[in-house]
Amino acid sequence: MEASFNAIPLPKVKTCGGLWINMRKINAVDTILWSSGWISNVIIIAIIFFLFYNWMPLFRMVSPIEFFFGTKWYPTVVPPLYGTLPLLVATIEISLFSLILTFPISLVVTIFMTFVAPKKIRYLLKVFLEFFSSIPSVVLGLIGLSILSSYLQNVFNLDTGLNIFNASLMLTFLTIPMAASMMEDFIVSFPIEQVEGAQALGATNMEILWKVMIPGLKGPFASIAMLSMGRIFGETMIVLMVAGNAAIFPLSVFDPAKPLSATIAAEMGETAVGTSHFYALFGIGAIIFFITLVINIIGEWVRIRYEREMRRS
Amino acid sequence: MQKIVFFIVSVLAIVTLTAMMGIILIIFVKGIGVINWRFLTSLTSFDFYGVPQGGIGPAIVGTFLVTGLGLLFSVPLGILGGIFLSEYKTKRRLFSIMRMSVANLAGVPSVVHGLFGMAVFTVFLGFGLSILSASLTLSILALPIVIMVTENAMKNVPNSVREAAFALGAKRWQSALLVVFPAAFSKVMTGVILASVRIAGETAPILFTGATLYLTYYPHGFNEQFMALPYMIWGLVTTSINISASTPFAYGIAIVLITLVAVMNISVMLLRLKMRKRAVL
Repeated sequence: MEASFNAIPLPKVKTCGGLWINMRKINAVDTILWSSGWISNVIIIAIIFFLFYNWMPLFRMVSPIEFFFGTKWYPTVVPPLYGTLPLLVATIEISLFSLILTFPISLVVTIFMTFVAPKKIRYLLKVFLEFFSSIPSVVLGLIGLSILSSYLQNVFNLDTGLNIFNASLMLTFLTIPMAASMMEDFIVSFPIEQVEGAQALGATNMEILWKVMIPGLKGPFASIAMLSMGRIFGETMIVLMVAGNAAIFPLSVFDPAKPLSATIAAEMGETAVGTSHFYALFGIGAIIFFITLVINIIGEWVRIRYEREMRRS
Repeated sequence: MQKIVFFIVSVLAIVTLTAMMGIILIIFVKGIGVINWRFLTSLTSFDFYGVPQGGIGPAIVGTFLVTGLGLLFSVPLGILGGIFLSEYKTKRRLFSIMRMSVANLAGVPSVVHGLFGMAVFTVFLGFGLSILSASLTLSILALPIVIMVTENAMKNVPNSVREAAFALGAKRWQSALLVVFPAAFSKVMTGVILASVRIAGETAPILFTGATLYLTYYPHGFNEQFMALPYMIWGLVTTSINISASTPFAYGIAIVLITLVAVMNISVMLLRLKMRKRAVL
């Protein structure tokens, strides 16, 4: 489709392909469209600028080494300690744990939808997943806080039910619908020739799944994992309500923790503009922003490479 | 062997899906008690012991106001951007940068949007804690969603439509805005509805840009603080004085939010069915 579109001989409008527009040949509408095409770049750059603008003053009071590698986050003691390492470790622990839960469960749900369930149920499930994925995360946080926490506390005999395990579980519920419906899209749009080729060789459904589809879909699955990871990493409300808000080094999954995003959400409200605490919270925002940026870029890159390969073959 | 594996897979999948349905069911069971007409329409108040009384009227109004304003800012811009990305593409490197930045903006965590909105709208531009700052922040969140949906919808319009427009002597922008966009309109609409669901349920971006737990009046200006449904859930179960008495109230709000989401999703489904019928004709 792309090739044919480019092959149409178009009327010679010198469109705004590059940064510079030839103003005489371009009319107002083209210019408006061109500038709104750039709006998201402008916003990204503005986000980066404002994060740094509100972060850099911190380093007049605290050294970067202490900020990145300090192990104590006590912003309210005198003098305040801004070590973000325990927060980062908590975020990474929660993200990895819920990714480990999300990925196989979504795969199982996808396999059920595509291979086992009859077509009508499959359609219903797809609708249900879409509905569930648009439930606000604060509702899942509410469930984790007021039901799951006391349950976990009793079953595992813990000091507190608000911990990494609880947060990861609720985050898993948040990401399963997204991951499963993306996986389903990829499995449904898998090249039919390859499936038919395998069927002609006498492969059963399960052999097609394990030996044809999953090896063929390694790239997209990796990108789904990265995108879910990006989503989990920056999710705020669930970890704010459920993770326990204790800025300590989490050792086991049943320890309470204070992830990066929850720290911002919990403390920004009580912080005066222009204090070192304010700058430190923007620094945490910058850390989250750049880590999710890298995760998303890797995910996009994997997906684009897969699509290019598919087009070639 | 296949049967056994698929049986285990089915059991696991059904357990997961049941748990998901169970979550919704639990919310309805726990919160249905507080739902009545008064709950939906009257002002919020707390009695001497911190037990919430009255209703969530201002929060409903606030959520609709902020979501509507956010869409008002983001939808026109997002649609124009999406049209540009799908219709004006060439092989230039700059376009891949453009598309990459849309995808990355969609992946920015909502708490970072909140920080950005606070830094720019609340502090830098001086809008303060207000409906205006919150809705501008939410509009930045909705923007990449609208752009991506518009781009996809426009790309799905068959090329023959464009060829016909060009054959009649239309310029590129005329074919894009007057021919291809109307053909893609209902698909764009579904995307706008989904974007509105997304921003109506967001809490983190409005945490520091203007939401507040408790107001005794309906909002009557764009430069005032406001109450919002998702923010109220969070506030009631974490910061209110009497948490155990507030929890059923929070479940009631969750029911309202879930119903809102369900209505939006159903309207999207109906739009899609309508489109499919038209496509057959």
